[in-house]
Amino acid sequence: MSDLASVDRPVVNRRRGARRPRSYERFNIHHRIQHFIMALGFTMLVITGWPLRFPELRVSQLGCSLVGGVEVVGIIHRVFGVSLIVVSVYHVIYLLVMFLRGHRSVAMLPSWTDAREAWGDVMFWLGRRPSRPRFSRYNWIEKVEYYAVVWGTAVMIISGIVIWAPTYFTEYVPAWVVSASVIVHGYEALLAGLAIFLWHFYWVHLHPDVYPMSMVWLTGKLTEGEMEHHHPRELEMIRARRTGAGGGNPSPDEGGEGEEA
Amino acid sequence: MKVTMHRCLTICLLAGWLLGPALAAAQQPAVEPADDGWDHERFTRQLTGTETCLACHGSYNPVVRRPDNPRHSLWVNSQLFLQSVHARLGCDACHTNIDSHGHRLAGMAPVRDRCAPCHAPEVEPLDGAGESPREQDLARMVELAGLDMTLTVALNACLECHPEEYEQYKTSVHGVSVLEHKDTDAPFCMDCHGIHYILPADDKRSQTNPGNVPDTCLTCHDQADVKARAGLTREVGATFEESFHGRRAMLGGISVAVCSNCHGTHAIYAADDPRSMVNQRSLAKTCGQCHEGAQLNFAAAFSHKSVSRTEQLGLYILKQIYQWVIFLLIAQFVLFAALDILQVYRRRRQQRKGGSVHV
Repeated sequence: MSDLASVDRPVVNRRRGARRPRSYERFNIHHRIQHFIMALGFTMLVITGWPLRFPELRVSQLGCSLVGGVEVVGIIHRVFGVSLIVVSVYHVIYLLVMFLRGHRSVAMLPSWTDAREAWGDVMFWLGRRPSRPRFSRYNWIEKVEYYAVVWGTAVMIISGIVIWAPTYFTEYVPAWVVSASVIVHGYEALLAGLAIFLWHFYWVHLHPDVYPMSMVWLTGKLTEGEMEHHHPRELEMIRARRTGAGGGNPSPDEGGEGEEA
Repeated sequence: MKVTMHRCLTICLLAGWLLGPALAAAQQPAVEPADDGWDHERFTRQLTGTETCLACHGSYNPVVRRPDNPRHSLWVNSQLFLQSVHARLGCDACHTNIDSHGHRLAGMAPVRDRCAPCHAPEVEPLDGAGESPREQDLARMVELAGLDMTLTVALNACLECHPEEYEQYKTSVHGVSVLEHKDTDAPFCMDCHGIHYILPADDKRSQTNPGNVPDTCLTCHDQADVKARAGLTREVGATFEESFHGRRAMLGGISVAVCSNCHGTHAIYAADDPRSMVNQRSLAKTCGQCHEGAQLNFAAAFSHKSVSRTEQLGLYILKQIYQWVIFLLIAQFVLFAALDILQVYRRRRQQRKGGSVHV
């Protein structure tokens, strides 16, 4: 079991003058671009959607006057809404192309291992086990987050388009669909915002083992230390494959069992 | 030498003290007659009259005894009044019954002295009351609202210059309630427009400015007792604030729809009246003012029905589900994160104690 106090945190360690360690690719350029546009769009959508969600707050009213009125805020919201739609389509096309090219990874698919790992985590949190489970490439929390984003984005895009063009949609669907979309858009946004800023940010920023953050969302690479601590089972598999392949000189950027591997 | 300096300073201060207010007064916006086809001579005469009135009514607080209020104030905020749309008309345009010297009320028996009209207001019918239909209406208004003659004549003055609005009002729910049903809750001109401070609708302080229209209407339409007497059941205030229209209005939007955009102004009718803007026949057109291509089905999405068990059960259930899901998920996030951080620090402490700092 690795020592929690000496977990590799590259941002901190590099500042302390550590040597650049061997790295493992986790997110390729497509992943990083998608994540970056998603993160930017999401943040801007939360900020520009906030005033309409809580119009009675002084901060909402001041925010609107600051940028030139609620009309401008609405335009910005739609611009980033479109960027979110574009990046979602990009993601679907990316997955399709990878699938058709034969890069068929099951790393992100839910499995019984996830249930066991979730149980292991609960036991750890209750103090019944000394450490967290030995995770592979994607742990159960990351998978839940991924599917939550898929679901949430789909719901937000659909409800958002409906309330963007209500006159068009009411020609074909009952009026309650529009009213329901308004409710869904508001509450799903609240849920998504809280999930990202509480749950996601806890695991990728606030957690003592990663604070302030891992460089992986920018460089796409994890260090050996990070791999040992966060993805020991994946690292084991990579090492096993290497030795199985004759123990030759391994590429420092060799990926795991990911989609692009 | 010192004395001279001292004197200079004193003179300067004194000059400043005198000139300061004079300069400030000179900067007050003067009411300039515009070249807009008005009879400026008449205007000037009337303005002079207004200033005469405001000399007392705009400075100290003249009070009179009334049956309902022993210290009824006759004070007018002259600064605000001079910005109102009627400032150029002068007081006597509406208060037609004021004798400029004697303060006598027209239509009353001649008074012995100038104090009697205020201090012993024995109201008698207007001259010629009961002759024309409008005067009958006025007489009814007086009877209903217990208005004094001054106010009644002022109402008459509204109708004098705004006959079209009066014709619309007369057939509207508000007008019919007042004139036919003798409903004391229903509004007259001044309930919506104000009395002395009728500002242009594009002035943010105006009661009929889009930003203030909801407040003006909700003065009555959010009153439980008024609504009960009028048979109104919808929570129009709360549902407006919930709607996109209300939210944008709260955020100071320029192109927002307020009550009057959908319901009209003087010609407001009940929703089941074919003349109403919110009648099934007209709804598509009413929404279409802003929402190009709106159909009747579109209008149904923006009713004043509240998301409650009784009015919109499906949406109410949807909202409840979301609120519970959000509460439970966030509670779980916080719980797991809190437990996790506790365990992480517990293990670090143990390791430090055990001295097994080793990978």
